[in-house]
Amino acid sequence: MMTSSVVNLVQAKHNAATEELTSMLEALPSSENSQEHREESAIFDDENEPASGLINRIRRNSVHSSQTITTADSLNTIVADDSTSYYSADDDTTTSGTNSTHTAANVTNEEEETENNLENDEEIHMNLLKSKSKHMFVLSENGKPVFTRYGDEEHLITLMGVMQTLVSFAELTDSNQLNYIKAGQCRIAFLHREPLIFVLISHTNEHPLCLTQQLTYIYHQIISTLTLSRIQHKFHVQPNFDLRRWLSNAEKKLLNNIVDMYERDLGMVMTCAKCLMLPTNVRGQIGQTVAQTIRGQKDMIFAIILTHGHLVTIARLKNYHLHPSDLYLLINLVNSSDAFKGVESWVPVCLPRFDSGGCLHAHISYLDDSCDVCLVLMTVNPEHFQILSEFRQKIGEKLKKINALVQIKTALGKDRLLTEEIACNELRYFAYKSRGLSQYTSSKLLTPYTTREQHVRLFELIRYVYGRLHDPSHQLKIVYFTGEHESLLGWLAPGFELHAVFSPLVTLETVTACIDRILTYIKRDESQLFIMKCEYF
Amino acid sequence: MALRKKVLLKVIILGDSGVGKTSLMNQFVNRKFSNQYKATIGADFLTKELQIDDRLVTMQIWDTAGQERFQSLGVAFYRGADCCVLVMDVTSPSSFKSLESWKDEFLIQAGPRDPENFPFIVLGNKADLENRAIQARKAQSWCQEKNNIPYFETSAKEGLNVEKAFETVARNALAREKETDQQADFPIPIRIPQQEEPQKKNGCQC
Repeated sequence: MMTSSVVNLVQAKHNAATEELTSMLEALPSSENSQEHREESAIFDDENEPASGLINRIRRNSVHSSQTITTADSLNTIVADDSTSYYSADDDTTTSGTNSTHTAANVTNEEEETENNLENDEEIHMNLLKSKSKHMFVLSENGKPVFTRYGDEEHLITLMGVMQTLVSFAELTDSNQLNYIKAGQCRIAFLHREPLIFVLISHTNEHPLCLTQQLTYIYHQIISTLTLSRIQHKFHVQPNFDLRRWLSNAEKKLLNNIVDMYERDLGMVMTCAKCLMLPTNVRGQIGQTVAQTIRGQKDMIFAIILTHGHLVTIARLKNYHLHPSDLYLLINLVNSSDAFKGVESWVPVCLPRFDSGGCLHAHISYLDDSCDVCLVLMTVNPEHFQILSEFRQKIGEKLKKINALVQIKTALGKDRLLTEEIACNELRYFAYKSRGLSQYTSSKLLTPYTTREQHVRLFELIRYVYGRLHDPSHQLKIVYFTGEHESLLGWLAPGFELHAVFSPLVTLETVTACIDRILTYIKRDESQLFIMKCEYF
Repeated sequence: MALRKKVLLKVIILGDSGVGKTSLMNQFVNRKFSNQYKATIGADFLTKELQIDDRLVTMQIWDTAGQERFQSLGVAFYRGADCCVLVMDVTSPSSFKSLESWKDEFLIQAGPRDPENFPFIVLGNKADLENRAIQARKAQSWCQEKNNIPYFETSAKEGLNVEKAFETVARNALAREKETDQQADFPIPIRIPQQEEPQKKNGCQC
């Protein structure tokens, strides 16, 4: 996508420009936007490690949690290549620790191809692999295929064996973990979470951090329908198990959708929820209505109102947080099937960041006839469908009475942000995350980013900046990146994270002025943009 | 929980270096033989579809390296295998002696349930050669001692018994598969005491 001369230019320009920009941006009075919301009132909690046995503890109504057992989810560090070699075309394999890995497996000798159909199919699949699309594979530790984003895993059986070998080999030698392999422009990222292995092949400049993030979402998606303890137990007693038997088309659709969703939703990248912009009092009323209806009911944990992937309100049991990545699993579940429309559904769901060992029971229904506003009620008690169904009835009636559903729809219809007040010709897009609230808001995508292709391309660039910004080995505050078609700014401030996209030739003064306007705007309208106060049952 | 018609079997081929593991696999999958010897590095993978009675079976064949220096890979390869093919060279007494340790090594590393009844087969390869050192009777009696492992004399060069041998191992693995499936159909009490409602966890209803 980019020639090396351009890169050098960018690199050189980068250093001087970033320094200047940093001082300009940090001098903005509007940047002092960030009160910390780290106390209990926070709606989300994106830092806590997942705990086991949470659900059980809630049931027993014992509030104090002393044994927080961290599960397999601890983040493994990625030994990323240095920034300068990012575009280099050398082939190297990186494992954390040493880089002593070499291929331990030969794929079928090529001379022996052709003849029967199976091999032709395989050839087609190998060509598919070489294509530019982003591939995703899941296999079990025994080398048997579980899922592939494209093609038929039946024809990738050989390849899955090779992948398993690569991962195992790296782990056997010096107890390393294979994180990714770089081959020219192509990156192959691995994630091993017992008893499964996740592999992603990307041809774009995505940061390894983001590749791992995507694989983690797939991992969580699988857990959310099957529960980790159940999968682990099955593989323990039957190591040769073929997990595809537990994956119906519905689960495969969820897996495909979570991958697609990641490419088009920065909230999943920044691990924060996107809220519907609503007048403060309206949101307050809705939240209180939900909380008051449920108050006093044992075993209830979360009550969430969603509209088209936006969060309207969330009420919860005190001391129990919903992790944003778990919220995305719920959104994915709701969005992936029309079966929830017009009926009340009762679905067991495992929220891996909440408790990967058990499942909650979700009552899912829409509150309006056109199926725009979705209510999700979550309990730990599998017998409570009837009770939750009555809550849903009451909440629906009350919200209609205060005209809330209409207000939600009106808000949804509004084109928001990038309005005249921010108006800056050079500004094309921005996304702002309040780090304290774990929520974000963003401008609408305008042309040329309205096509799916451009949308994905733009977000890939933003993820590249995101990765640079969050690379633990660099500790950067600001990343300014000039690409062929746009300039991007990523800013990690104490209270917020901001990503803004400008036209490629924008001046730093304009950037600073635009950012000032964005921050001022958000500061002023913060209470409408975000859920500032959480409701409790 | 759709039950699949097609079954995937992971097949491991083990045996000393040079007994003809790769040649057997190539004969079975591609019906080809080459006199040239190329040592396998790490492992090779091939797949082959078979029809066993009314069931379509895909065999995922893991052809491992016989050389000592690749042995550390064992754990990774053996895990989750459905069956194991032990190969010896009928002209090489040492390859016959090694069968015991290959089998033990496999059972230790793979750690299958019910190791007594794990589906193995033993192939005495290079049966076409004249300088035989291990008589069929000797190999057979060893197999009988080991809980009646099926024994085949094969020739990867001439294609003798190759298909039949692999079919047998697939059939035995399938039979075992059926057993475990029946067990799995009943909800086993799997929860740690802390856990909740195992009966509610059977799959997704979305």
